[in-house]
Amino acid sequence: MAAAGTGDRRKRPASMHEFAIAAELVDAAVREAGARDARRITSLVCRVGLMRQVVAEMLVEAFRMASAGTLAEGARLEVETVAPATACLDCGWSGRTSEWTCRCPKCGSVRIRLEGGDELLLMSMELEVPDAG
Amino acid sequence: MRVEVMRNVFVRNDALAEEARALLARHGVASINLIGGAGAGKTTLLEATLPRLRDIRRTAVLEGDIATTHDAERIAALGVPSMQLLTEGGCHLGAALVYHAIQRLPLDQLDLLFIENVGNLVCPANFDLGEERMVAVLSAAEGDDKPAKYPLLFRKADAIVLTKLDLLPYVSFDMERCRAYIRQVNERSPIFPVSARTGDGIDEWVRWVVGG
Repeated sequence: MAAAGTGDRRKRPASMHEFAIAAELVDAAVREAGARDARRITSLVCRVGLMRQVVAEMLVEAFRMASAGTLAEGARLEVETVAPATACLDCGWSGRTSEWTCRCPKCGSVRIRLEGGDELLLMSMELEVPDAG
Repeated sequence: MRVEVMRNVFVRNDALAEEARALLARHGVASINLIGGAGAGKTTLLEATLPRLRDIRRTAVLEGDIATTHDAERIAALGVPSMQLLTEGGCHLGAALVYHAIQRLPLDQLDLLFIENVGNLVCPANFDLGEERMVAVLSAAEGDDKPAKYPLLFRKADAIVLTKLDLLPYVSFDMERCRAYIRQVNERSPIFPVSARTGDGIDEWVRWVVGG
């Protein structure tokens, strides 16, 4: 039996899942920016499905902390929330609902199937790139 | 300069998870990630499961916790190799910690690896660990509506284990309502109601563990 700690990992606040997601988001953004020789990331857009249960303000604050000392420091994070996509197995209705629901908004049936709403994507970034040549 | 990226935010974690998955597959080790709230009975489920596997699968357990080695000690007491993964405050296991740990396991001498995640219904569901199958564990004491409140986990789970059946006379948990909530987000995965205390349902669950 042995215990393995996290001493070799970057120390980061991780008591809420927004912090964990923010750290992953910073990593993904910095990699993309580095591959384009960017000097700085000035803004970025992240799309989050409602099913991820992310509080947007919390993610923005966590991002501010996680990005300190990276190319993304000071960048403005815009969080787009995407509603769950559901399909009703009884009446055939399908579409997005304003929040996570257990009932078909049209006929009230509980026989619904979830077809989306768990996205977590880095959509786009605004980069400062040194002038070529 | 504006660039369109459109990529998964979990790219770093998922890349490490893929490496862990490939390593386990190369050694023929099946793996199960157990996710459930604190006190759902994940370790107790393992205590009921592992003795039934003793003669048919060489098994090891990774125990994820924020602090203490209590759970790993409970598993070790059964004679099953276990390693405690301490997240030091982290609310979930990440692929890096798991990949690091499995590199230290004698994979050639194993058939099956359980990874018991940190007790939490939200964060762990976001992080692929490279496991073959993910299992959601929910106890009768927690309430039958949890699959509706934590849809991400119950949607992704390859099986759902409903524990502490022996408490049903004392709590307001409605088994059929719970099944209905699960089926709203997950139509495909088997549901195993069990009691580790009485042994009810454990054989069916173990059959799924070994056979799929």
